[in-house]
Amino acid sequence: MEFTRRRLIALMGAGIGAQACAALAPATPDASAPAASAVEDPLDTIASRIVSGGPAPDGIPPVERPAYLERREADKVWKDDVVVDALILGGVPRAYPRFITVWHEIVNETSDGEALSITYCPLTGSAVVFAGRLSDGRPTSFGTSGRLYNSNLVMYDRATKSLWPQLLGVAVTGERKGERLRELPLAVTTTYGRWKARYPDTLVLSTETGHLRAYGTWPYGDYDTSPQLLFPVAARDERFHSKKVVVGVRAGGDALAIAKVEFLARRVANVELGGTALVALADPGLAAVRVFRRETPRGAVRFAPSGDAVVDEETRSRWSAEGEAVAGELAGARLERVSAFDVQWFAWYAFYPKTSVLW
Amino acid sequence: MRRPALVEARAGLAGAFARRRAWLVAGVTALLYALAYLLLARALIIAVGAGFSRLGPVPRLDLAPGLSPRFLIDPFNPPAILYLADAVALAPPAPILFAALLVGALVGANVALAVETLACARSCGRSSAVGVLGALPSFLASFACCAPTVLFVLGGNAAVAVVALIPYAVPLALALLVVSLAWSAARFARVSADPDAIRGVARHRHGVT
Repeated sequence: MEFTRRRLIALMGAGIGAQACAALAPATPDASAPAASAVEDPLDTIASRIVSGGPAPDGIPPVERPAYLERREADKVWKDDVVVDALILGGVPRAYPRFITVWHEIVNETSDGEALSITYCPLTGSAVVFAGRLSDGRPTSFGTSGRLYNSNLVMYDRATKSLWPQLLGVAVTGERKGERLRELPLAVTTTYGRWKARYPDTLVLSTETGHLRAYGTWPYGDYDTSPQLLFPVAARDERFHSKKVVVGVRAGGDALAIAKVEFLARRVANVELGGTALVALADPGLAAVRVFRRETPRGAVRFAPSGDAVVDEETRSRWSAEGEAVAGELAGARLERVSAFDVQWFAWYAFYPKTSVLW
Repeated sequence: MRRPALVEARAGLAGAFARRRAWLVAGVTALLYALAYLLLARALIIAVGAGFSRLGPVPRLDLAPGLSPRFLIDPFNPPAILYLADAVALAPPAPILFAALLVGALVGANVALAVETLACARSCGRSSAVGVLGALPSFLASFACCAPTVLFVLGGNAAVAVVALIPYAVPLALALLVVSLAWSAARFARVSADPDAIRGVARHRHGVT
């Protein structure tokens, strides 16, 4: 066989052309495309729009047996401005630096004998804590499927292999299809410096994860500040920068996005969401936002700022950002916290396009 | 009378790499390519402020826990990380490292052949720019394997297609580079045997079409 120039160029052209065409062709159903059937199951629609993110199942390996550092040791590793997802488990404060969780996305943990998973999706900036127990009582841990829906981590449960988009918390395929996971409203997203100032005895997730990664580096470059997305989403909205951080809340089938930075100045808001009376409270010390049901021993009261504090308008009792009455007639009362977490605007909107927005 | 293409290609390779310059060009190109490849694949990490020294002394070599042969085919888990400085680390999964070295070697050989062909033609007063340009598509295709970076450049819907192409990118690049190398080597053999062979000059001069 003779290698003629024409034949060679044709071969190269075909190869490169095939790549270019494949790269430009829509590989997933377009959001505006009509549904295949008027009675199509919305979960099937979601399942059909799940795409590969590249890695194989657990190619992004969860941390299965998390080890922790004492704060003094952690201080040698992490600077104060490192972003952490933090919570109190079994009375012990714990911080999960995103410089570690970005490489693993799921930390499977147990507390008081109960499994739970601290999940973080780097492509949507969302950290959600799930109970590690299915509705039939089976305990489970979670793995990364390597797949994405609306750019969001799709987890799988190790008990049934059902697929669960993190921001939906509902199984879209498999044995548990249609089932909702129990979200644990425990975590806040803050910085290591702010968290340890509040909780000096905090534990910090160790880099001894059982895996080797270049911890301290961010594999997604400037993704968190760039308006560009990497994967398709079902719906887009240009009101905000796509990566603007909002606090997402759901209740009674409705969704609310709280613009985080703006709300930290506002400090308190009473809202009705899906028929549920809620109050959002800013925590200036942690630069975090928590959301609670407005149920107190005096019923559904409203809250208002009063100087540096927050008081309820019924009894003028003072309430902490953690939802506890710290002074006044209701001292000692606690509000029930609901699941609310930081998430990038584009992702929240893609999942909940009818979301209302609170500034 | 023309020799078979493969025989011609082998003769061309032997002829070109009989020169020390060819080895030098191939080696330097392969090294630079491999470094660029690892950088684009984010296996060579240069991150100002990473603070690797906070995790332990640098330079140091960390081996993956539970090191086993499966790491040889695992494209996501590096078997070792070499921390070179506070902000520089080399953390290539084995298949990425193999691809960088193999594709780098082929790119180096292609470039060396192009340089030798150019030098040979020039010494006879002929231009061989077309020959060099002919190797360009395979050189560009050789970067197709750096999918993570490509994703960031393209973004959006394109990312889905690029992800789907990852398993084919390295074999495609290798195939293109091998074909290009064989073609270039055969061409070099002809040019070095008869400098006027380039662009068919000799044939036209003698009235052969």
